[in-house]
Amino acid sequence: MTATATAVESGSGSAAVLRSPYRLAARDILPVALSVAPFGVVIGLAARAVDQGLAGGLLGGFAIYGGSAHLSSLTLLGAGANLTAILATVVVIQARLMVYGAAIAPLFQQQPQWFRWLGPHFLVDQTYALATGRADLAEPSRFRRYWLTVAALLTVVWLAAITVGMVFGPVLPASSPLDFAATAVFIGLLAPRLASSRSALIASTAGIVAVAGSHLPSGTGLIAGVAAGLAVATVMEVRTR
Amino acid sequence: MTAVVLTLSGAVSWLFRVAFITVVPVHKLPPGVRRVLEASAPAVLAAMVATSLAPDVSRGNDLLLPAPLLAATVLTGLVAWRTQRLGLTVVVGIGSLWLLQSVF
Repeated sequence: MTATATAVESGSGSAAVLRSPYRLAARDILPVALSVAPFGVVIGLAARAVDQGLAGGLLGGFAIYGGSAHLSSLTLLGAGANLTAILATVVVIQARLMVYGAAIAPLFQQQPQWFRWLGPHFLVDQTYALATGRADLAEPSRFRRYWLTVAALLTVVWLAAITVGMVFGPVLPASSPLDFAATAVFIGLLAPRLASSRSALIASTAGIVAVAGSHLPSGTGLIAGVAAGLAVATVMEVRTR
Repeated sequence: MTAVVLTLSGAVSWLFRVAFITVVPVHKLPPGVRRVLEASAPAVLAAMVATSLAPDVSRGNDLLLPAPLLAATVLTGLVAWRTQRLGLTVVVGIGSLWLLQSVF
């Protein structure tokens, strides 16, 4: 694995190598799942706003399994956008999943066929960052148990949060420090990956471009930031040859 | 319409997820491309942090972010860097922001 992964692992303690993949997964995903819960509540509110029933809201939450794309779909639906415009937006927002898939693919290489087709459904920003940040998941069955546990716990919390938004939406406060939870998770996942000047330069570029493009619609600033970071990585790769 | 939109959005999302895992296995990509893709983590995470903070970025003020949010962000980063413990980082982040917003 990468130096980054080693850094994360060393931070977890050497005992983590021996720990059950179920316990390891639960310890990793629970703070992450709780941190994305406020976002799930917002999705529930948006689903309610377009007159979706609870079953439909939960099915949508499971099918898309991504807050930004789901929220954009619901918001555009509410604004009366047509199907093509909504799908184009989803394509732009979700395009990064291909990059995640490519980066995490080695962990899926020696897996059973069913897992190779169904397991990636649970690939999101957080699960990608968790799995690629661990150096102790190379053994196929260990990774499979870890991934399925992470997926199950995240799904339960995510769908519960959507339910809360749909059922209790009108009585929830509009804003609170809990909104900072998702940012804190991303900072927590990013910091251990900045050990090298190469990673720091890539991250700085991505962050600056993302802020500069944050006023653009439909998550374009985020994608522009990622593209800029990957462009820097490409230039560095070419120069080292 | 809603059901169609959500079903198709789900299908697109799933296709993107399996594209380089199951449909076109990544080991068929050139090594240089794979190394660039491995660099995606810091790029994506930094962009996510930046995007989540962007609505609070000040325009024309001395500070980049409102003081409590800036202080909480820096503190969260330091805790993440020093401890590399995700749960502790999240707790310190939320707790410090709550405390700072209460005081200031």
